[in-house]
Amino acid sequence: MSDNEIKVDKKIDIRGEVCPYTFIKSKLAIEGIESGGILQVLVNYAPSAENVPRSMEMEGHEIISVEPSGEKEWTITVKKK
Amino acid sequence: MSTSDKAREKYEPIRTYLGMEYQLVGAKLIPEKDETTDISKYERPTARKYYCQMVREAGTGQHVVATLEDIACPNAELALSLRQPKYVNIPSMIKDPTRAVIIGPIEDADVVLFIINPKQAMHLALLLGGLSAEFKGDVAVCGEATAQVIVEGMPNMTMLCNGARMYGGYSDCDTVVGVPPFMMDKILEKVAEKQNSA
Repeated sequence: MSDNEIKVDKKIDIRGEVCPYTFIKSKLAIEGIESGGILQVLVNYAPSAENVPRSMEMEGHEIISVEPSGEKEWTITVKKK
Repeated sequence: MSTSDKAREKYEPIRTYLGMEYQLVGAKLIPEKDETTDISKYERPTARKYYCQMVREAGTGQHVVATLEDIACPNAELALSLRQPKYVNIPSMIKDPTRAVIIGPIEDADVVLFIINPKQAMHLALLLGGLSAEFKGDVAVCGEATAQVIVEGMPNMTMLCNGARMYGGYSDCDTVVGVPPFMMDKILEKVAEKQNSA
């Protein structure tokens, strides 16, 4: 499923942040949307592109995709449980 | 007295010399391919915890064995090779996948962790004849003080990461130095020399 086919409910830009603020800001952001809603997270640190999805999975959310969106940037798309 | 206690007793003069608040903490990675090491004799954490938190708690005597299910920090999972990357290619320093980490016992540890303040680190550096501090404020106790020291076989000091201070219970004054176990006897000799010359 491409991003074009997904209705994104909320986007956050956490470029420049590192652990654990990446997790905290992502978790706070997803709290603000309805179950089944979609959160997109923009990061620019490779470990964050791996670990934010992992922390979301640990919370029970579904990772739709982790896609490169620029040089050393990734867009993480998460579906709230 | 267990072998772990004997090792702890052996190195107690180092801890006393440095004036350490915490006990020395050993960390040992059990590779997945090692099916013979019995980890059931160690207690598991009571809940998911940060690896750095378990290290600090081991410094107060709470020894545990942690598997992937026990670790709350994705960074530590990767750094210790308890999990392989799924979304982005960021290889772990530890090449072999890890089944569990024994946190606490000094005997047979892969790395010995010193939870110390900067002044104590200065004295430890003098005992070691120098101490590098290669750190970037991210993946600290798990990566910079544990995985890196195991892989490179050289001591390293970390000023910790935000996670260690927010969730691990470390104070602003705490640092962690990882030391390869083979250097412990040399440190002990240096302590004895210092005490004999005093």
